[in-house]
Amino acid sequence: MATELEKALFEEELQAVRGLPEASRWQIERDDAVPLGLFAVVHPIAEPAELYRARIRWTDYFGPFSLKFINLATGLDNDPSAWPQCFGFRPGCLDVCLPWTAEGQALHPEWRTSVTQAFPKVEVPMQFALLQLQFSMDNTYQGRGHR
Amino acid sequence: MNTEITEVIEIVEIVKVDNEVVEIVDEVIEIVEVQHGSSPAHDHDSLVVKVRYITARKPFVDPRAPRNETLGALKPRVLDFFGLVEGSTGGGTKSYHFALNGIVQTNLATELGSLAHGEHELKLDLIERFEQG
Repeated sequence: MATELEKALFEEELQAVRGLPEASRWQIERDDAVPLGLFAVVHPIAEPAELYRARIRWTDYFGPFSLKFINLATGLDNDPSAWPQCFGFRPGCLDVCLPWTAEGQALHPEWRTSVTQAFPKVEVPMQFALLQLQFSMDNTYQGRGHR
Repeated sequence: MNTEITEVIEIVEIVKVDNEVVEIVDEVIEIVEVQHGSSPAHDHDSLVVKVRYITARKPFVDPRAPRNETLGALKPRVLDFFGLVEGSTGGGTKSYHFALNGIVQTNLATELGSLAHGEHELKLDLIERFEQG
């Protein structure tokens, strides 16, 4: 359950991230289904026509976030072809198995006590989530997932 | 010696006390001492370097970084500023890399001046990578 402070910080960051230099490449909207969630349409820097709609949700705003990709046309969240193929991204499993995602941390509980795989201390969770996603797409993108 | 206010940064420190999230807000005014009335990095041999670490609010700022300083020389100063250590521990390897306009810079011998392309300011990102052992 999100605290009032988490909600307030979320609202503050929702405005702040729009001022990031990268924000001109994003279409951000709130995910009204949850208290702490958003949608962001993103693309790899080298392939601006390849659009992906990311759904980012937090249960703990300062913890790992859930990252899923939504089919832009249908809105479905179970389509591997709506996912980018990047390092650690697994379209076939519909998850991102990396230390910064809730899905990765759930699959690897041993990461919580690992110096290298524990979720870092984050002062700006939304900025962290969006930029981590963007860096993955800009540096490790290998195409669209397959059905 | 003059002083110049270059940036006002609001620092919000988030801590958990007894599982309650507490926000500590503090404003830091960055003041750069300017000698002989010149502005930061307005000479030809240095530039302003700002490094954003995506988990942190406050960037690393060096108002007078030598243009011929390499990324490899800059890196330890930046890691120290953010309190980061890279290396192999816990069954994997964590490393940090500079990125310019989103693209990771792999050549640590690159000089800051060449990345700035003649500009007086260079903005970099610091990102971390994981490799499982």
